[in-house]
Amino acid sequence: MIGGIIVLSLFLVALVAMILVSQQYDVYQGTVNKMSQKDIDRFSEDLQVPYPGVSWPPAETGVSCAGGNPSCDRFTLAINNLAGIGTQIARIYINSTKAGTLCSGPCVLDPATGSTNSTFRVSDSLINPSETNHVVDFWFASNRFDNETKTFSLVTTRGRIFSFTWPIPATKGANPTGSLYLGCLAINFDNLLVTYTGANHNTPPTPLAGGWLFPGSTNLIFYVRVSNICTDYVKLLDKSTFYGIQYTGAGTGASVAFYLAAPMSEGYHDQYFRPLGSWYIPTTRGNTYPGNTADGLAGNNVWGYNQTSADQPPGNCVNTITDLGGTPSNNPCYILPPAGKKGEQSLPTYLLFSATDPCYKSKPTCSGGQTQGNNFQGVIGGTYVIFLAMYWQCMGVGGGDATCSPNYEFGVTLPFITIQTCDPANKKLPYCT
Amino acid sequence: MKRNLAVSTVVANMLMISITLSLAAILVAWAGTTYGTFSGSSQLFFLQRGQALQERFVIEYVYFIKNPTSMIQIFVRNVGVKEIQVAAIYVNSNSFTGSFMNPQSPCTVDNNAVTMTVGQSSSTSVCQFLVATTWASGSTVSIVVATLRGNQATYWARGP
Repeated sequence: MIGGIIVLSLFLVALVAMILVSQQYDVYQGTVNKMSQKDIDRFSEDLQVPYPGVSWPPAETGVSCAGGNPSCDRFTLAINNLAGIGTQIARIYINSTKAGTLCSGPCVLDPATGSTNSTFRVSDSLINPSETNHVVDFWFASNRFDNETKTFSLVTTRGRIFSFTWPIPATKGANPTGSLYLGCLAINFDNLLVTYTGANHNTPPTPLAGGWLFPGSTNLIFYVRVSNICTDYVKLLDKSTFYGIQYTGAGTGASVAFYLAAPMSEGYHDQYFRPLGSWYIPTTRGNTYPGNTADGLAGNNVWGYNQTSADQPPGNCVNTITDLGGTPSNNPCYILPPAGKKGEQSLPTYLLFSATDPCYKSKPTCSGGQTQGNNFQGVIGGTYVIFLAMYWQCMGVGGGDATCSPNYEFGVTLPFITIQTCDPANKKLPYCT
Repeated sequence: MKRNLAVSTVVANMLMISITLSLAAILVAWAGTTYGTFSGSSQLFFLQRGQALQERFVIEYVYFIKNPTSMIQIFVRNVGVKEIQVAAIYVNSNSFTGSFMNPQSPCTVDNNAVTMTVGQSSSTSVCQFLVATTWASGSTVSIVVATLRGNQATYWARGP
């Protein structure tokens, strides 16, 4: 009996010890599971900042916020949450590749309820699962926001860090330089192919990673250089358009259509535009181009294509139907001469695209000095993707080109260039250089 | 006739029982102590492991300062469920402890460690350390932040 008691005692002591250890292990295992779940949540986070990244809503500019020097503006940051889990942004770091110019140290943006310099709106910090284009407002001293590439780091409350650079390289219409080849057409755009109708801007457009940087709040006219790479005459159709769509943090914004207004020759471009700087049309008559008797390209108006009065758009197009026995007034420069041989480019023609086109709407009876208003002004701080729609038809002259049947009209629409607009009057995002 | 001396049967039995009970008591006491020690040790082990397991912290940003003196600014965030105590920072294996960690307000050094609290609303859930150390442009810098519970957060950066 005594032996039984001893054995039982030992058993009970061991049992109690095992129970205690098991309880502790259970608690520990619970902690392991809890932290594992937190780790899973943490690594499930996936944020992405879509193009254009940072926008500057014009309606909110000039917000007075404490600590701003000299002023503080509200910017917006669009974020896509690709994860099936909600995420909260704890802090935003902004760093510039140009050391020491953005902030005295790293620019640290913390959540805040009010509009204070170097803060972001606390209510915007929560991003729902799978939410797209979630806008986070932040305030920053606008004079610090130059065109230098900046790195944004978004830190979440779970400790993940998501970084992106601004300007985000454009993916839509991302290739402003170099040729686009569409069938018989070789199409180019460069900084000499933009015109400001206001006389108070004399800075050329500059390329940025995010697109071409143009001054906002000034009317813009775009030229597109087109060459023929087929060995047949190619007729460009006047339904070719140039279409701009604004991209904002919350998706697409305003859109604007540009219409083909007038073509001009390369010779004209080289003789008058290039030396003067095609980005600026002088408005005083003494500085206007020879042959432009009525400032057809000055001010806020350009002449509609195919006008028959003396106010015909300037330029004596050398690539005209006259080569084929026609007259310039009928169908001047819509016809591209053939390339000398397969693989070469013909002499280019410059196509003028202008926005808001009351004349175009009444075509083909647009006449009597009616002007094609050019009302496109980029919103300052805006981002636009310009789509180019080109329609053409081969003419089958002189045997034509075996690769281009004159029996068909061809047409292609594609993203062409991306533009960002700056404020020429103030040193604000992004700087007009 | 030779006389044999011995204890009586009753006394002998009582002696045997006493010895057996004493040995049993010693055995039970020994077993209890052993199991108690085992239980206590495992409790401590699991407690510490559990606490260490609840620590989560990240080096969320590093900024290199060249002027007026060469320094590295290290931002550490406590994203766990337990407050942490930063015991040391290692930059390229050079240790910075105590006041040499140079935490910026509101974080402070207390008992040679910097306590970082939990929660986004807490001002000390994120601390910045201004470590005075030389760095060269283009060279790789290894940064390790270590806590008293033995956890580490590592960060590699290249001098701008």
